[in-house]
Order: sequence, then structure tokens, then C-alpha cells
Amino acid sequence: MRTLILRRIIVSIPLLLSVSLLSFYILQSAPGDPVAMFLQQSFERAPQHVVDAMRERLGLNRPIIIQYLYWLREMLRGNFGVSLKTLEPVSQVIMRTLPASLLLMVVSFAIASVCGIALGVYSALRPYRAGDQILSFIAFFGYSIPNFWLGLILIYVFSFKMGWLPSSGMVSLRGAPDVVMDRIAHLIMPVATLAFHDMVVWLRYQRSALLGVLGEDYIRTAKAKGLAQRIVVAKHALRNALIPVVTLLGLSVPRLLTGSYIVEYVFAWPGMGRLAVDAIYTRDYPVIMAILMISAVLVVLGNLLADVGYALVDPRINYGTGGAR
Amino acid sequence: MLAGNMKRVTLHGWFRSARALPVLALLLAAALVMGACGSPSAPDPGQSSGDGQGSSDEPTTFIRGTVGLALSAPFNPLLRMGNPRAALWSFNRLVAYNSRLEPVGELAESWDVSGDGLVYTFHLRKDVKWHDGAPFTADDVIFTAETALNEENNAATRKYWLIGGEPVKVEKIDDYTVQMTLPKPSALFLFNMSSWNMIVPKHLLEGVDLATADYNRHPIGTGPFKVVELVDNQYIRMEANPDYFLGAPKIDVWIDKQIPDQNAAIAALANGEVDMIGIGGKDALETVRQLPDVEVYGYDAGWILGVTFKRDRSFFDDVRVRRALAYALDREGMVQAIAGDVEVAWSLIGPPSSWAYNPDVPRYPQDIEKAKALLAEAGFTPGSDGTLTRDGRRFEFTLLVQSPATDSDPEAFAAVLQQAWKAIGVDMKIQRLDRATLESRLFVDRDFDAYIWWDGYNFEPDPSMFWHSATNINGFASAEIDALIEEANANADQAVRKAALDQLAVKVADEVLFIPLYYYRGFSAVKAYVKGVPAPSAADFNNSGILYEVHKLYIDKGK
Repeated sequence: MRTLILRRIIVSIPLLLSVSLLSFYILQSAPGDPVAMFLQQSFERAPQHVVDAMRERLGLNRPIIIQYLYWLREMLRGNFGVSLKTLEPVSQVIMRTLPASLLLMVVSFAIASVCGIALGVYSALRPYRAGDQILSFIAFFGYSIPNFWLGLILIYVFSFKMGWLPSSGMVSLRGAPDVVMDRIAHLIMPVATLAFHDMVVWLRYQRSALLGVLGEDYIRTAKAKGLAQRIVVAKHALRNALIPVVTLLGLSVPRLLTGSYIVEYVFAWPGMGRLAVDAIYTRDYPVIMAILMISAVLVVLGNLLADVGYALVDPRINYGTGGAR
Repeated sequence: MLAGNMKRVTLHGWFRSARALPVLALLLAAALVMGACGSPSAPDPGQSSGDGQGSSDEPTTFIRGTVGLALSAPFNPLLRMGNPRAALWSFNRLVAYNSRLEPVGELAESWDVSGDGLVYTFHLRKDVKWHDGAPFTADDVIFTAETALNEENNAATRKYWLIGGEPVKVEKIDDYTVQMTLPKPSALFLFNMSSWNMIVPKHLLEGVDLATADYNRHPIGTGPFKVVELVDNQYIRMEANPDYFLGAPKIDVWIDKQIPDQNAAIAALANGEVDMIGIGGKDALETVRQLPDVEVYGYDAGWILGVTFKRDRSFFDDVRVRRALAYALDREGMVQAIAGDVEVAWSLIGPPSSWAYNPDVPRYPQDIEKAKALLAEAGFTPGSDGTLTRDGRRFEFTLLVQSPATDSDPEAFAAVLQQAWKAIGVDMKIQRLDRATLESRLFVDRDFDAYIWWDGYNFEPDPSMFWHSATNINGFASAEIDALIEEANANADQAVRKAALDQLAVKVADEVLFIPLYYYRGFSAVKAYVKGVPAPSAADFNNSGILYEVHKLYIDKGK
């Protein structure tokens, strides 16, 4: 296992390097100049020497490849540079946004996966009955409706009509409410929006995986041995049916960070998705690069987690060199 | 191999044992805690939010939802602020314009103007203190002017200290008297001393790198509210400045809260999370008008939506072509359908409530036949695909429009214009660009055929930005236009100014150098319990919308 992890990490280094080089190049070739954005006030152009001084200060006057190498060196030292918009260190900008993002995403991820997997199991155990049919309908409905629409409908019903839940932001600005309860009240609708969509995906995956396993010979054998249905499902079927779901869990890790721009926008949640999109619109290269790199690392990490997870749920899988299955 | 196997088994066992569950739960809890602590949410004890001292009076809080604006540092009026209007609550200008658009003193108590209109002497108020207690003096004014004028600082307010590109000379007479000498007479100078031209404190900003100053997160002003907390992309919390020289505010806490989405903002207003929001678009306006306890205030502003052509592109150099394009449009119908109840624009400078408005300009009621005749006269013949051609060149061009944008009207108009011009054989393509790319195409590269966007003219209009050859990007500048602008801008006498601006409006309309569509009207929806909102005047576009003199606002929920 340790060799597996080590090998995967080594393989990912050239991968991450090419991701960074490619994104750096693409960003720099996009139209729109960050210095012009920073200095220009529509019709009033900043004098050329001011523009030049700014470019020099930000290191944007050097050839792209030098800029890249410089950026790379600094990044390896943990320095992501300064935001071109506010001239603050990028790490500071990210750290200000990260907790809000993690809170929203981890909570909805947890709820979505737990509920999705549980409902998927329920569906698979009583296939094609009323409960399963209803869940299937909900799944296709949930998968088809766009996030922003669901979010707006929730806002319309629970904030606009009922007035039960706050429509936006993550804190109440009036009075001194209980901090935890207040946070939960602000979380309910964005989490519901995000989790509903993800949950139905888990549900469908878990259902089909478990249905597939339940048709296997060894399940019939187990049943023939006279084992109780509960034990057959829990000990024999579910473990095997979790394998594809674990892959999916691992592959969802990168979404934890930036996967929710639309929900963040609708609910005014100050997360990384919005930070990323704002940074793109203002050509804030260092911020975009930092977010891209974090996402790339998370993709690699997610894949690694999926592989490790495989090995954990399925003892047959051995990534060692021995060739044994 | 063996070791590897053992490792695997152990991990496997670990996962199988119930121990994994608490670890996962712990991670989840950690995320919750991080989220809870990560943003400074809890108000400092002892500050404002009823901290149980037993006082019967709850602090009154006013929350303004800012739709669509980025709300982040820098909070410094010298720099480009994401939410510039917030600077009006915590800073002051030398001069303000009241709701009748007359100049009144703010930081300056009064001023004298020399007979030739070149020397302004401002007598400053002596009772003004910065939020940190330091006295406000002439040094702050001089410092603000010098900092703004220094090119290296790239100050957003630099333009206010320039008259025709030449700097204003600012001198201290004594601690409370400042003399400003203009390079040439200007009708706009007093307006320049108002607008967004806030005075900043010398004692906090002298010798500091403006771009990275800590001040940009912890601003100190002279205004009715003090900034206490600035949380990026969430809110700005301000507290009343009890020593405000125009009177202590009646609201204790003022919060600007960012809500990017208009619909979410309306919901926040309806359930009382915010007390006021701005309204954009006719659907949103209809929705808030139906809310029971909400007042909707409309006010004029000096923005005009229109299409700008570039002279050397397509066939735009030919006045017959431009007139034909104008005749092809049903302007009333388009505006009614897209923007609703607003004034259709024919004249360059508006709205109609402005003294500078000239209604007597050539108008172009829709006349397809006339449009076609003009194009035929100009030598166009229909090509094989129905698009007009001249000298083997198709009549085609690309209209640039910002998308995504908070305001979706320009994009809607682009689609309608495309249809209307297709009907006379003109092939217009639409290119949607994000703001950075659009600005770079327009202002840096000057690479465009035509664009649709807002042009702005204040109640003290200065058309030079759009029309003077020194700054103009559309290529239609001429000696005649330059002379008219210079005459208008140099004369403090409104009659002379109006005569020149009227001529400019006639020329622009006659030659269709620009196709105006409608005059912007701003709307604010405010909870009915918010009192002290000044009645919007005929032309209340002094930058603050309805929030003029915020220290007079109060909340009366009537027990």
C-alpha cells in the first residue's frame, strides 16, 4: 500500500507540472490585460510609464516562460504571489474563503452520500416496487433540474413566502443570534440544493451496483446456506456493491472546493467557486493559478483515495507488483 | 510483499472496525467548526449588538442589500472600490449637491470664487474630526489632492483634480482655508469637488504604499458611519459616528450586505433580512411593487443606453448608412418591450428632467422604406443571400456586448437590433464578451465595429470623455465637436453651457453618431418602516440615489 501511494505521488508530479504550465499559458494568452483592468478607468487611460511600472512591480513584463518559472519557484516555496486586484497575498485571499467553502461542501457531501447510499440500498432491495419507482422518479427529476432553479424555488418558498429561512449569506447581521443555530439556518437551503442533486446520483449508482451484486451466484449460495437476508445483504452484497461507489466518492473530492459556483451565487455564500469565477472575470492570474493548482492536487488526491478505498473495501485488489489478484 | 500485505490487512481491518466512523465524524465536525470560526461572524462583545447590559433600547440596524456588486477591499475612495457608494456613508467631499442639485457645503462651509472664475477659496468646517479623533484640517485636503494627482498612485479620483488635462493648484492659506487655482475656467470644477471626490486623512496615509495599505481594510473617514468590519463578499458593518458634524445618525448600525442574485435579494427584503435593495429590470420591479410593506422609489440618473459605431469600420463613415440604421428601428416598441416604463432616448444628454436635456433634435421614427432608400442611394445592392453589398463588400459588422452582466438589457437589445437590421439587409453579428475582454477591446485595443453599453452624463454633464478627440474611442471626433465641448465646459454660465450642449446633441442626432435607446431610471425598494427617506426630486442623480443624508434616516416600526 505504501509503495502504491508513493508511486502514485511520483507519477503525479509531471502531471501537475504540465497542468500548471498549460493553465499558465492559456491564462496569459486570454484576451484582457490584468494591469489594464487594474489601472484603466474606462475612458481614462493610465499613462504608459505608470502601466510599465505596474507591470514591472507585478513581474508581468518578463517573457511568459520566465514568469512561469518564477511563479513555479515561488509556489514550491508555498508562495502563491499577490492578488492583482487587491495586492494581498493569494494565500490570505484563499484562506479567507476556504472555510466557508469547506463547510458548505463537506456538509452537503456527507449528507448526499449517506442518504444517497442508504436510499440506493433500499431501492435495490425492493426493486420495481412502489418505493423504488418513486425514488427513481425523484432521482431523474433531481438529476434533470438545474441547481440554480432548485435554489431559487427554495428561496421563493421558504424565504419569500414562508419567511422561515434566511435567503442569503452565512450569518445573520441583526441582533445576536446563537452562532451555531444561525449557521445551521443559513446552511439548510444551500446544502439541500447541492445535496439533492448529488444524492440522486449516489442513489442510482448504489442501486445498480447492489442490484448487480444481488444477482451473483455467491449471494444465492449464501441464501441457500440459510443466512438471514440482513446478513446476506450487509456482509456479502453491500461490501461488493460499495466498490464502484467508492470510486465515485474519490472522484468527487475535487468538487469539494470549487464545485458550487451557482449555488454560492444564488445564496450569496462566500465560497471558492465565486472567488474563482470573480478572479477569472478580473484576470487575477495568481488567484486563478492557485485555485487551479489546488484543484489539480485534489484531483490527484481523489484518484488516489479512490484506489486506496478500493483496496480497503475489496481485499482481492492488490496493487502490489506480485500480480496476485 | 509480506509487509505490504500486512499493511493492507491492517488498514482493511481499521476500516472495517467501527473506528473509522468517529474519525469521519470528527472530520465533519472539524469542517463545521472551521466554517463557524473562519468568518468573523460573531459581533465583538461590547459592540452594538445588544450585549445584555440590560439597556432597553435595542440598537437599530439598517441593512442595505447590494445586488451584483463585488463587495471587497480596498475600501479607500482614492482607489477603485467595488462598492463605491459605501464610501458616501463614511467619507465626505468638500461640496455636496442637495436634492435640488444645488451645491451646498459639506467639509467646506463656504467658498468664494474670483471674478475670472479661476481661483476658488474654500473655508473649511472647524468642527470636523476623523473617526479616530484627529482633527480634519486643510492639510488633509492638500494631501488628498496631491496623492490623487500623483500618477504613480493611479488614484480613481485623479480626474477630478484635472481641468482639461491640467492639474488644479491646491494651496493652504491657513489650517481651515484652502485656495485652488484652476488652469482655465471650468463649469465642472464644483461638481469635481463633490461626486466621488472624498477627502482622506493625511495622518494615516502619508508615506504609505496606497495599493497595499492596511488602511484599505480599516478605513477612517469623517462621515456619518465608521467602518468596523469588512468581510469580503459578505458585508461591511458600520457604526454610527456620534460626533458627525451634520448631526449624529439615528441608525446605530449600518450594514451593506452583498447579495449577488436579484431574486434572492428580493426574498431577503420580503422576509426582513435586509431593509433596502436596488432593483434592476422590469420583472423585478413588478415583483417588489406587490410586496405589502415596501416602498419603491424611482430616481433619474444620468445614464443612457445606446449603440456606438466606430467610424472606420464597416460602412459607418457614410452618414446615409447611419441614418438608415436609425430609421430601421422601432425605438418605442423595443424600449417598451425590454425595459418597460422608461423614457425613450433621442437626444444625447438626458434624462428629460435634466436642465441639459434638448428635446429638439432630429428623430427617426421607424420607416423601413426610407431606410432602404437611403441605403440604395448610398450604392448598396442586395447580394445573393439578401445582405446588402457595395463594391463587393457585404454590409456586415459585429456588435460587442458585455455578458455576463448584472444588467441584461443590453444583451436583450442586441438580439432585437439584429432582427431589425436584418430586415433592411444588414448582417449584424453579436459577440458576447466578459467585462475584462470587452474593456480591453474597447479602451486598450480600440478594436470594435460597434458596441452597446451605457454612457454616463452627470447632472453637470461633461461629454468630453465620449466625444472629445483627446479621449474619444469612436473616431467621430471633429474640430467642431471639440469646440462645442470646450465652450460648454469652460462656462459656468448655465445658459451658455446649455446652448453649446444643445448644439452638440443636435449634431450627434443629426449625423447619427450614436443611437440612443433609453434613459436609465434607478429604483430602490425600501421597507416602509424606514423613514426619513428624502422624496426623490425631479433629477435626483447626485450619485447617492435616494440615500442622500443617511444620518437623517430612522426606523419606526411603531410598536
